Amino acid sequence: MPPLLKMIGKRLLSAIVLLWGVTVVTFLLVNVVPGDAAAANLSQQAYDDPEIRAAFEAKWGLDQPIWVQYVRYLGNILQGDLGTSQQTHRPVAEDLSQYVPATIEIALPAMALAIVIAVGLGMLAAMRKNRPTDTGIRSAALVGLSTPPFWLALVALYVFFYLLGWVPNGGRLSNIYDPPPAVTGMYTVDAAIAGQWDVFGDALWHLVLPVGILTALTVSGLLRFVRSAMIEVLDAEYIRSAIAKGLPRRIITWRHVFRAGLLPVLTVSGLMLASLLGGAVLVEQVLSWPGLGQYAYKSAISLDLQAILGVTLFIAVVYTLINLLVDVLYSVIDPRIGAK
Amino acid sequence: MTTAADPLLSVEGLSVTMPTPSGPVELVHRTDIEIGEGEIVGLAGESGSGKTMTASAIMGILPPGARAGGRIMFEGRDLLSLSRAELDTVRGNRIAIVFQDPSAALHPLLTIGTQLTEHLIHHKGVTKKQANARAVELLDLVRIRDPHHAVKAFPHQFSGGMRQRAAIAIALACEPRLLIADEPTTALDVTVQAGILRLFDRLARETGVSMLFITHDLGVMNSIADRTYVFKDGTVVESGVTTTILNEPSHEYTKALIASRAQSLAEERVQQEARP
Repeated sequence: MPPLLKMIGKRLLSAIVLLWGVTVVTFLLVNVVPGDAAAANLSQQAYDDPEIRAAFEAKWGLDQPIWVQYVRYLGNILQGDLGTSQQTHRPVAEDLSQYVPATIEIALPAMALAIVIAVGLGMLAAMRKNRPTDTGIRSAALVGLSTPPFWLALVALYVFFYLLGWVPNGGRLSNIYDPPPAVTGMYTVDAAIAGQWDVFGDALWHLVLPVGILTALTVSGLLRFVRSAMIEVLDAEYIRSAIAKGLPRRIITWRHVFRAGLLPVLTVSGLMLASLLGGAVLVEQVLSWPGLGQYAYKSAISLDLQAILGVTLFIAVVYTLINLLVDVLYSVIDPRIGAK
Repeated sequence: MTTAADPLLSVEGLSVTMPTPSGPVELVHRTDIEIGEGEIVGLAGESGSGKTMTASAIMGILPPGARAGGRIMFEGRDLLSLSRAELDTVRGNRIAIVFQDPSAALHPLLTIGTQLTEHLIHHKGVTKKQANARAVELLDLVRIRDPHHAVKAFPHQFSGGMRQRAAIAIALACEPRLLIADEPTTALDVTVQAGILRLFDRLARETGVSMLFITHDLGVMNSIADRTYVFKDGTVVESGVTTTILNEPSHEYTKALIASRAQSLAEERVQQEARP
């Protein structure tokens, strides 16, 4: 078997063990945290009625011993049943299938743009180390890093929607349009598949602000890593070798510096992408973007146990898969790892 | 046009200055070095004496902030007055360098083949196919076994000695007229040092390339260099035919270097005899 496939197989096995561990820990945590699901979900009048309360607890299995609840939960997960949300009264899996694509639709473009911008600016800063260009780029990144996301979202909304009118006032689609037939759950993609180009344009227009804000925030975080990784590479002796070979700057930059500096950046990018896919609560809240962050937030404040577990499990799966992807990319880029 | 009488490279009044928090420090002062066509010239001296700075000045790879003064004449041009683009037509092409530690000097993520051919393609304008054929030839020249396979290998798949052989092949790719070797055996196992030295010696004879050989080891110098410059505190204190310098040193520092070399040899012998 090729070493790469063997590595992926090994990592998948350990991922399964890891995810099982996650279900145990989150399930226990949610049960240990003081809080009463009945109190959070029933009205005061209903909560005071012992019969209604008992019926509620029986319906959700809350009257069973904790390990029975866990085994029941685990069995359901394996069948793709994440339970029913007490808030939306719909299966959690169905809720996720609706909220997750909304988040993916802004997270993936934001991450892709952020990597391109951060790598470009970070390399430029590294090559102009301690010169005005570098200082400027670093200062801008620091401002971005120090800006609270919700504040950035509010100001961006004020400027680009209210003052300039360039972007819509939040949401995924204008009222005059119906969502395109669901295939992926991402409106732009679904609209393109259905050939509804006016809907596609409108959905794309609605992406501009949330994607822009997430990109700016991610660039600020990523930039410092790119810069320091590239500075380390620029100091390496093999770059001196490349210069001593009289190679043009273009080749030194992209073949020698970029490739070597990419490795550390890859790890950080993976973590940032996972974090973006986990939902950006504050940005989603300000821009009324019905993504995973909002769903997680609403589930948390109403102690919606099944939904919390569903979101947690999803995020754990995302982190595990992205780590796997990063490892695979690592061994593709760095022959020293793939050989082992 | 250089005439037969002109040296290939002549370093005239070279000084290298480095900025430090307590003001600029002159690491090399008013150094003159000449290398003739086909000659192997040694630079000897302890670490920090300015040998590597001199080599870096020739290659235009001084550390950031360092400044070089004087002239470095090569093929009728002063290398110190060239623009980066002009210098790039010389280095890697007409003058090449082999560094001390091949593990650090080779790019870990590029194949030996890529590192052998990229400057060849750039400087000589050959096709990729021609360059690959030349790469195999070069690896054969430096006695790397199975060169067809080796061009596809990455540096980490080579031993230290093989890496240095590959680095030498890379330096020779464009058939330079001058090869600078900066302590090329220091980072290697003692067992492979002799092989690398023999390789330099053979290459000089076979290709006629001139060499500037930098080392702190006078024994190495004795076995390879026609003429030697002895460096101390950033300047040349003694120069001449290597055997003459070693047999009849005129400067106190050279005598001290030879004495310390004799002492370390004696110590090595004692250590070897002490081993069971």
